[in-house]
Amino acid sequence: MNCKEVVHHIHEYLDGELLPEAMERFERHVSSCAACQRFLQSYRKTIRLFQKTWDIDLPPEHGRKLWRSLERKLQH
Amino acid sequence: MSAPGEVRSDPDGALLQSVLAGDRKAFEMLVGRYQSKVYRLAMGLTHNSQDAEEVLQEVFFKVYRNLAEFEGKSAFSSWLYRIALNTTYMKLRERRGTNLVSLDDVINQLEEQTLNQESDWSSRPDDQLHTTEAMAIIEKAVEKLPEEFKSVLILRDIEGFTNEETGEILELSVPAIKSRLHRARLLLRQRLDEFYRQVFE
Repeated sequence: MNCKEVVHHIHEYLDGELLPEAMERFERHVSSCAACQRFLQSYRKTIRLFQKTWDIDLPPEHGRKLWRSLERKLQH
Repeated sequence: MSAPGEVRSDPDGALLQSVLAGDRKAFEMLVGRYQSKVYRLAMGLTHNSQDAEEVLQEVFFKVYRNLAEFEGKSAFSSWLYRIALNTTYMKLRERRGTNLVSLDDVINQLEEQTLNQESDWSSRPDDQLHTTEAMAIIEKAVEKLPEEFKSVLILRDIEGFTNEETGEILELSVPAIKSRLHRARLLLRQRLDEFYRQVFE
């Protein structure tokens, strides 16, 4: 496997979807390629940082307000 | 609803039957089960709490009104997310109009992406990377993504749906989901790469 193929298959690798032989070729290339190691790490970190931007909770008062407003609407 | 067996296999099946039988308490439970998820979706996309609140109300009102039409062919949660995404995008269009880059632009940008030998930001600790500016870069990049890329990214990386479930919600094939997910992540990675290179130079 080369660098281009690593970029192409990285999501399948992370999802554990590569067949054992492809998985082994992926890992063999990455272990000997510093650029791909950095790419893999940056791809993983991108997902993690994206997840942090969505750290959103419903404020409790919004939840109560939602039900009150739905109840009103449903009565009509 | 279609075959009763299909509905029973849905984790929300029993609750749905009670709602359909007119049980208001069951509907309250259903709302309680999903309200945080719908809010997070709407807030993450609109970045506006008033819009997110309005979306939340519209989504559950639509769910209640249309529940009898839910056929049980997909999981209830898939049906709900489809409504939530459509309602949120409709709200965004009302507020801001469509201001999205075309699919071709996104693909062209990604094809230019190469492995960068110089950038080494990913080895830095998270507290150096998790800055307000970096979060803003991600939010802006997500905002500019075409809707179908954005939806895939949210359903997979935020909500934790599988490729198959995401395909069910968006009515897209699994290969289409995988390709959109990968491209969307690559685009975010590229934006971060550009940003961190300036910061850490």
